Amino acid sequence: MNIQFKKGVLELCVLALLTEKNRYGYDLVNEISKNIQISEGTIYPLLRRLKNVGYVTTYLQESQEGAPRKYYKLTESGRKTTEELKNDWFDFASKVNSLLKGGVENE
Amino acid sequence: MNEKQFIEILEKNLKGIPKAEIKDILDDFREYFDIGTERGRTRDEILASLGSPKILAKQIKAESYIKRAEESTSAANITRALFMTIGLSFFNIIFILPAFIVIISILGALFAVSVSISAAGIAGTVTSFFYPFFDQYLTFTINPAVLIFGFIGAGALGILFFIGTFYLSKLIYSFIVKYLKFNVSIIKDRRQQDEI
Repeated sequence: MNIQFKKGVLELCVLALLTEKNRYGYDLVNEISKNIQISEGTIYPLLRRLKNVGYVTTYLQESQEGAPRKYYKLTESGRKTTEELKNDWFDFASKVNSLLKGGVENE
Repeated sequence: MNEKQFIEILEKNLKGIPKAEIKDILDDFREYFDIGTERGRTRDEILASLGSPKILAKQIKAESYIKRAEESTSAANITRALFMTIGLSFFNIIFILPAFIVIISILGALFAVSVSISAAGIAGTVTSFFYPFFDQYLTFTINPAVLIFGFIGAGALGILFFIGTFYLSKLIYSFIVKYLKFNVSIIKDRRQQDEI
């Protein structure tokens, strides 16, 4: 799949996963990998960027399984942006879908 | 490459960004290895899934630099951005740099002219009040009122000219900043295309 395309979508996926609940890096990769194949290391530059622009904050939490995990939590602005991005995506996807379907019908 | 080497390569390639940030990043990846093994994956599997540490370091570093440039708009940052942008392409060196110098020179000249006209107007207006004292030295006769209003007009014109030049400079400045931003966004895009 086109790299730039995947990159933008990956950001949206991370944000969407964080609207459900706070998650740590590994957890995010795990969820995304179930559906989309990604290079797992990429999640960290992405998370740092989201933190730099203020969409997420982090906190450490002890875990029963072992090492403490760094959790990522959406901020208010992150939540708002996610909503906007989601709407953009649905709008975009439905337009592309109708265009693709139209193309098939015309053939 | 094993886990230790992965971390080392990452650390080496992150040099240049704040130490605390590097530690934070390395901790993130150590955490990733730890959780992965807790879940029953081998360290080698995790290593293979993470991708190249060099490229990861490059992505993180670019992110960190951009963040700092956005946080403080110091003269050094703008100059760096300007040079980075000029170096971006041959086109910039050949066309943009001379154009930039010409624009700055023209603006400087416009400011000089407007200041001169204003100064002449103001000086002339004041001098006109003393017309009765020196009209005997003049080789021509002129209505003092015409003289005074002429100079007041010149002064006002000069000031208006100055204000106009000021707004023109602001406009050009914002245009240059926009152009730089556009160029920087191209650099950013190129960096991001490296790998996902």
